[in-house]
Amino acid sequence: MNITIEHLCKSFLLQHQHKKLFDDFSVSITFDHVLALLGPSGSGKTTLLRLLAGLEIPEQGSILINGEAIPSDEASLERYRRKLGVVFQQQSLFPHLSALENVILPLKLVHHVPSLLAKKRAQEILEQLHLKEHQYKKPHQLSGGQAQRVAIARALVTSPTWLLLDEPTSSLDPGMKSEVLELILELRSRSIPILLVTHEIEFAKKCADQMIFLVEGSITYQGAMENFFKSTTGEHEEHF
Amino acid sequence: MTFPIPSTWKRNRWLPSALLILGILLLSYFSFSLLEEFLEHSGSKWKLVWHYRNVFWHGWLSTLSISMVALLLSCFLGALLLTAYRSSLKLLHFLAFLLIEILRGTPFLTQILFFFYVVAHGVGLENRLLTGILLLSLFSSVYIAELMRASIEAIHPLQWDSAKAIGLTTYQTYRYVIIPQSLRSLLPALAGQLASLIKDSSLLSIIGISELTLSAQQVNATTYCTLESFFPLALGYLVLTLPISLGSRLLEKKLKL
Repeated sequence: MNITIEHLCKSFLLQHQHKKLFDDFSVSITFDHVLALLGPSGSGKTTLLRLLAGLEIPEQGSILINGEAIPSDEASLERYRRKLGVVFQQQSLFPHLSALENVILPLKLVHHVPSLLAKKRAQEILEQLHLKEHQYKKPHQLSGGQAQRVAIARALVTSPTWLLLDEPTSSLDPGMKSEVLELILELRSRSIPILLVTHEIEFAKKCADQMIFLVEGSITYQGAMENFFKSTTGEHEEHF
Repeated sequence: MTFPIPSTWKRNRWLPSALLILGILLLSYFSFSLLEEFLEHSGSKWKLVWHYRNVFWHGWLSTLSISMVALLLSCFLGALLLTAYRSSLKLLHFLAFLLIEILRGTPFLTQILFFFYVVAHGVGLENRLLTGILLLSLFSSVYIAELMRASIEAIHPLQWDSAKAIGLTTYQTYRYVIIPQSLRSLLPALAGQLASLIKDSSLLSIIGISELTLSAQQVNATTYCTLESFFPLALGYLVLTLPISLGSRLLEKKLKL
């Protein structure tokens, strides 16, 4: 999988003032399994993920996924987003629907899969992710780890071309973190590329093949994960 | 004060509504029985007012139906007003803003007098009941729009993003994600608004709509029995507003996640 970003500019509103986060940002990276996006808070990791997920539009520049540019008009973006799976830090699930209904929703409404088939497929994926006994529970009845796994199941059920995970473990306690991390490791073996925004450097080390380290909208390291610890001069360590 | 919700209520969603209606009917029955009791043990004034019980009854029913119709209409108008207010079309947004400020900035009584004697007469709207319902709905729609806005804005921003990320359209996002969630906080507030509507409807007596307040005024004018005319009036409103207030609290607890 290749991501190429050319001359990207993106600012955001902070206390009624536009602050430039990315200014003429360019990068090209190819990875097979997992690309980890690391960096301190406010470095632009989440904004970059949102740009790649088509949830934000750049002010300038272009983003190409496997050579194909992410569109900028809402109708085309809607079609683009249907091909992805995105999981946020928290609050990804719809609280008024059960785990099963959450997984069925995109199949039925977006991909127009008939009700019975959608239910069957949703149950299959929940079973694969060891969530069968929790399928009728509402999100508030699930633990944080289970809720994130359901969110991942919902992202996977539509067979996306790639998966974008925005700090999926940051709001979880250590026990729940490990169950989500184990699942991500399991997904690594499937042939679905993953972009992982995380603070868990140790975990990134285990599962990522490529990584980008961002500091205030600029890349301070880009390349193979295993080379990061050899090449780092101590400038990154202060962030962990 | 908290009220425990029996577990059977969670299984049967019609039970609370049925109990609420039963409560209203029982309260109405007891209030009229109480009046009968008063009548037997007190003087001729109560007897005289008792003679006009049908006037009260019709007034009470009229207040209830005016308020219910106005609630439905004001929900519709409130949704329209909110859509216009959130519109990206500047003119539409400005018109909604203007209407909201005018309706919130003037007393309901002033609105009734202005609308009935100036606007309704101007456009040839002669039906007092229809005018009254329209006025009450318009007045209430501003507050309902505000309740709707608050209930939508209370939803976590990531819910919008999640809906967008799985590919839902704007309509699908509202229909399947935002509205079902906002109804949880909106429904109890709407029940509270119905209680306000019932109380506010008493002001419609000023333009001669024969609801409960006007009925009591008419009985008082005919019998000169002030206490005996206005006591059932207060009771008539309480019979309506107390169960609603109780129901609204129960609903709030029941719908809480």
